[in-house]
Amino acid sequence: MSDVIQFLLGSNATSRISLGSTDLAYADIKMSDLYSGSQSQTGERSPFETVTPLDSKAVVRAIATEVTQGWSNQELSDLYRTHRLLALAGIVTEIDRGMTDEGDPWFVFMDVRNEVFVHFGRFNGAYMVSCQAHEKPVWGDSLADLVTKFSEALQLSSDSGADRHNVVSIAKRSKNTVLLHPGAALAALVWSIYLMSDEVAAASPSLVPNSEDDVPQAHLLTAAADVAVLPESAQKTMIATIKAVLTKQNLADHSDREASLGSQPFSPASGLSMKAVGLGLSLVAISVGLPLTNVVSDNASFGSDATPAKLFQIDGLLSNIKAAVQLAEVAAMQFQGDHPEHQNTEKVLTPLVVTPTTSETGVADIIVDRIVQSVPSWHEITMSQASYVERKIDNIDNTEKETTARSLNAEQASEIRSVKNEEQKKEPVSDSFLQRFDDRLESVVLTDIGRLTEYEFSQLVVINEETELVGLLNDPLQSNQYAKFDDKAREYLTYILQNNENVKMVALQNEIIFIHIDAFNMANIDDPIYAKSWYFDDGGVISTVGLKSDIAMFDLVA
Amino acid sequence: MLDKITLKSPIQERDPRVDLGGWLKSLREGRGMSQRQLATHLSLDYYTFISQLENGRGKIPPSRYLDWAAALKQEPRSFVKKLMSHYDPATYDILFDDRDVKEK
Repeated sequence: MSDVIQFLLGSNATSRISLGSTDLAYADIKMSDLYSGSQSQTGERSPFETVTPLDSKAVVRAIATEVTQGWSNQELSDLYRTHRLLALAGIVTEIDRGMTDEGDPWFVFMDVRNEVFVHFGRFNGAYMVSCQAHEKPVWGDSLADLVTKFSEALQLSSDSGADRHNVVSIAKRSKNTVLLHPGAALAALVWSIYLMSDEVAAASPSLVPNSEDDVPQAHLLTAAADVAVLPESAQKTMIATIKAVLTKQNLADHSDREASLGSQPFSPASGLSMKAVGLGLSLVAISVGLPLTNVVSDNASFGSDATPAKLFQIDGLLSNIKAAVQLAEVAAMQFQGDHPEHQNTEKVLTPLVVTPTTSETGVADIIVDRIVQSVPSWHEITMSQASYVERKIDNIDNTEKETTARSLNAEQASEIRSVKNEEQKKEPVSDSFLQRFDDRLESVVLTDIGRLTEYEFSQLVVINEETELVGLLNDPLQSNQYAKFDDKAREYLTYILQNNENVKMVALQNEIIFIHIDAFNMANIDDPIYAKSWYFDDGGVISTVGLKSDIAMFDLVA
Repeated sequence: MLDKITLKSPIQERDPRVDLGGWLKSLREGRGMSQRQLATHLSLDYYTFISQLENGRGKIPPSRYLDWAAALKQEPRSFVKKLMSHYDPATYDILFDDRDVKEK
């Protein structure tokens, strides 16, 4: 080892960088020797006694460490916010922090029994997090980086590629880039670790009603700012949950009641608010690839011995999130419709100023219905768990705008479509063929149908190849699945477009593909996905992807 | 009312482990060891854990009791007895409370 970088941390420190192979005097110097002047009594090298080749990142980290002892103000802010967000979610934790005899900082979160369930530290210029959920500490370049590294570490801990799908990540999908406030990501990490800890989770959080004088006003005030770091999608989810439940409880008719969310700041300790914040944190955690139960990080859990109970647990979570996201869109837009003065004002989407109105009475029923409908039939649980969870996540994204658009009035829907059109400008869409086809289906307004890009469609097909369903792009239709467009085809198309809410469209140069998205949830061995295409004299092609039973009703199965 | 309910931590008193942490720190310093050196001796992944323990947060895993006793040059039985008196005082009292023994 000839290239050794040497930094000292104390006030008497001097820096020396040895580059030459002839500078043997420093060949055996270890970082720990330089930080503390201490020598290992055993002569063995500890994990934090590192000899580092010259590396620009190491230089930056070492300089940063030299300059900063203890946590920075921003780091402390994020850590304390995490503590407050956990409290808002109903999780009672205690925190503590300190510094080593060398000035390196640590920060711990403890459960109600005063047991540490996560330890953050920084030394040797690197950040680390340690918890029960992962055997070895995870290292990163910052607290925010620990979130990514922790997610990656859990995925890498799986033995096979298939098992890696057990950790669901929306973020890894190119279209769904998730931009998060570092504080939100950190809170999601601790939330995830907390939920993964069996022993900790077994200790139920305690809610203690206090007298009016005991209400921590400072906590009330900071709650708003803390929740605001969560991404807008998570906040919408929280809004939908709160509004739906309040409406369900008939509180909408009493919007002037003291307990309603619109009349006062966010109530940090209400059970409803806790559920909402917990849901928001869960959504953030999932979006960055963090699991929410130890089931997810357990290799064996989704293997051959996966139990229906475990799968149902995950499904329930995803279904709730899916429903909440869908309803959040609806609720938010309805609220804007009722309060036009807040149009284009993002702040109305925060949970701090939501006032349920009687016009939203149906929202609660819808969300309950959605959750019920989202619970899978048992045959789905026999499918590959990876693709199963992937599809559930897909549905969150694929259906929310669709649901929203169908629930809005014409004017609002028009606005949504204009946004969609902006997003799709890059797509090579043949509107002329689309228009010609539109003319043939007079009863259906094709422009109201949500679109998928070709890439999104290919991803949908790839996912379902794992479940041995038909893949249209990679598994070309047999010749008998082509036919000339006729009245039967028109009737069938009209049927699926008018009777299925969740139909998407892929508009290619000379082909339009209609996909019944929900069919991918409903398909099974007895009723598989079926694709069929019809051609026109002008060379255009119409294809459908849906349940075989649907097309069979029109006697169109080849 | 919703706004009159708030969270209250059950951890309201100074944890006795803080005293134990001070004791562990005195043992380490008595041996002339830095926190990093002790962590190295114990093959710990992160030496900030030593500081955490000395501040009365967390516990030494039972599987490492003997390693710690050796590192701090302590007689194992009395060392573990001291740990138990702080980590699990109820059990400690049942097993070692001299007053009960005398009464019997």
